[in-house]
Amino acid sequence: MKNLLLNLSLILALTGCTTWNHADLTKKTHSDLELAATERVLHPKHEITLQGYYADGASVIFAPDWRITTEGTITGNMQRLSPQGKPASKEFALSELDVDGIELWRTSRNLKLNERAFFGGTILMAAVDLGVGIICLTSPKTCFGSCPTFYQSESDHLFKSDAEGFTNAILPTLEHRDIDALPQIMLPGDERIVMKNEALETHNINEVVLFAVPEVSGSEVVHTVDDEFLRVLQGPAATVAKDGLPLEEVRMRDELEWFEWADKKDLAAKTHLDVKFEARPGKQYGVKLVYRQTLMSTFLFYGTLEHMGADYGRRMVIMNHSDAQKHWLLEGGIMQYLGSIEIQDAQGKLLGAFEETGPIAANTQVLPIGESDGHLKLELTQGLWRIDALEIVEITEKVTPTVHHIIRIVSNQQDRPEEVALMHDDTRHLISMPGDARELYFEPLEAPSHIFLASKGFYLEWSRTAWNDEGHPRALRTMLLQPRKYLRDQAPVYKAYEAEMEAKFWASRIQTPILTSHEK
Amino acid sequence: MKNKFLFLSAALLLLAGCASTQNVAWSNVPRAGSENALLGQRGALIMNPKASNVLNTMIGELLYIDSSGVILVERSEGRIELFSPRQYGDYKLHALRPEVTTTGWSASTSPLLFFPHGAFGLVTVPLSIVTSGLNLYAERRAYGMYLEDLPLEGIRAHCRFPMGIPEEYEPTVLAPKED
Repeated sequence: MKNLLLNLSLILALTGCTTWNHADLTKKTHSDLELAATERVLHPKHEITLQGYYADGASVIFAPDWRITTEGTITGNMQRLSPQGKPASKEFALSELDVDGIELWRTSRNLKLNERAFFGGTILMAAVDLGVGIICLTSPKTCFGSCPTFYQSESDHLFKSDAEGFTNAILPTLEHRDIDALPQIMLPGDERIVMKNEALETHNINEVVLFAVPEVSGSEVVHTVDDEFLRVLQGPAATVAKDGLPLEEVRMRDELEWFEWADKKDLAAKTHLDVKFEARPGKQYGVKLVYRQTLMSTFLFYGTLEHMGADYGRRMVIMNHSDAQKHWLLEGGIMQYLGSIEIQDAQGKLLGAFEETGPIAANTQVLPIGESDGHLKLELTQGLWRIDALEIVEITEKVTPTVHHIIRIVSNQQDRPEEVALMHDDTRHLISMPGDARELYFEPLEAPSHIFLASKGFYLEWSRTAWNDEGHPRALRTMLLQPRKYLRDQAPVYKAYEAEMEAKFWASRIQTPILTSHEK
Repeated sequence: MKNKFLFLSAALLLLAGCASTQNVAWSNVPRAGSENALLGQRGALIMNPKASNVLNTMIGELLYIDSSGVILVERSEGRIELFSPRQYGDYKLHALRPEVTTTGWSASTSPLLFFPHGAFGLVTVPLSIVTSGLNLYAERRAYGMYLEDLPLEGIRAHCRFPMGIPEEYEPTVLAPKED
């Protein structure tokens, strides 16, 4: 009986320690040395050997201590191998190698203990995601930047930009106009906005204009979710609560945002907020929300591109010409489960939704709800949204803004009249590359005004070195065919660095250089 | 009698071990975490998980993949065989094997447990066979990746000769075991 128990334990122990799942490739080939070096960036805690192959198949192999010198040579403990793979010497010797003649590089990465015995292949794949996550943390702009960012003031803090242009327009055929409210009243003579490209993207800007509505004391002009402009008065104070507990963070716009951590088992899990206010009959109300997304949207977006791997370019070209795939990207797939911030009345009837995407600039929008009994519900995906303020406004009138076009563009302290001409031609685009910054000057205002920035265009995401590999076809397939399951599968991966990303979110400052292989 | 039998069994096992040093074998696949996983020059093993003989699913060692996706595999008997992408769609690539398993051959030694375990061998021997079988099963499946899921360059990285098979290559030229 004792032996029986012993053997049963042995079976359990051995089978329990076995990795059954799909693993990731531990060897990779690279066409140039710098790409091979990125393997170390992706896997900073792994031992990685480097092998260079000459045309005849002979090779040199470096132990994990190799490094690239400033002269472009490699130093480290090295061994030469014949074309048949037989070592020329028994021992590795410290050497410096000129890389001339080497046509192919191969890196080999070992599995760490926790990747081998206890977590298996699934977590190994998660480790790759984490590797890219580490790159995002080290260089936030590389991952978090998206779309042109616009600044009304001189602040250069990426996460305090005043507007993000044409979010989601990641393909030429997705070009659209995006309207964002700017937070400050603009005075005559101050008709200036700074536009930056702070991401690894090529921005194709067709139009940037300002919509202006003169300020009237005691009222405010707001942009609705349907791209209309309304003059509103401050409405009754609203109490927003979750599970009966009031949320003080959303009482007023003060950059103190309310958000929840994502559900640990399901990224599509929903959460609900209750809104109460003293409603009066005959009044037309609106819900004014100051909000943006958390980094979950960034995580999922870049995760998708990472899954595509080196196939990214081809897939995007296909998507550009496929209405079905574009629908999947914007409204189907995982998007249908992540959804928007839905506003419902007390009976659960849907009144409308806020759906502006992007984690960088806060959006201020109003959803007109008409007369109300003072009870509303918000349904939103847990951990996907940040809400700075929720206010009830009283709608007084619909207004038509004046349009102010660009009259001057300054970049690198030089006037760019040719770019102004581009912005006035509906058939052409101004190209903005990573690191570009432009001062845009607009037609003058007649009075202090509420300002809304409208931008039209699209942008092309640059393929990152980290994606220049095999990608994760299986994860991509799950994402395409089983989006609900995908969001559950990704939950633990996202949770693994959600807290760290959020901390970084608040601490990050822009660094000027963007260091990628594209900038060689 | 007991000592002689044990001696004979041990000698047979040793000889059997020597006889099984094939050029293409599971023992050539580096163990995860070992130095050989970093420095070894062997190609990954190609397996056919749908083989009719579940005890012999090995196709061979991956030598090279050309630009059209055709792979060249060294079979256990020494010849080099070509497989087109259509042929190897269901095959798996094994670049690593688990670090902690008992190998399949230990099942054949299970009857020896009668000597240390006596009558308990009636229980421990079958259990030992089951354990060894499970480990064999595990070793043949852990770290496996379907070739159809891998990009060409990913497969190329796991070839023994990513630049092409040298003209003078003879299948038995390398030492049979590097681990």
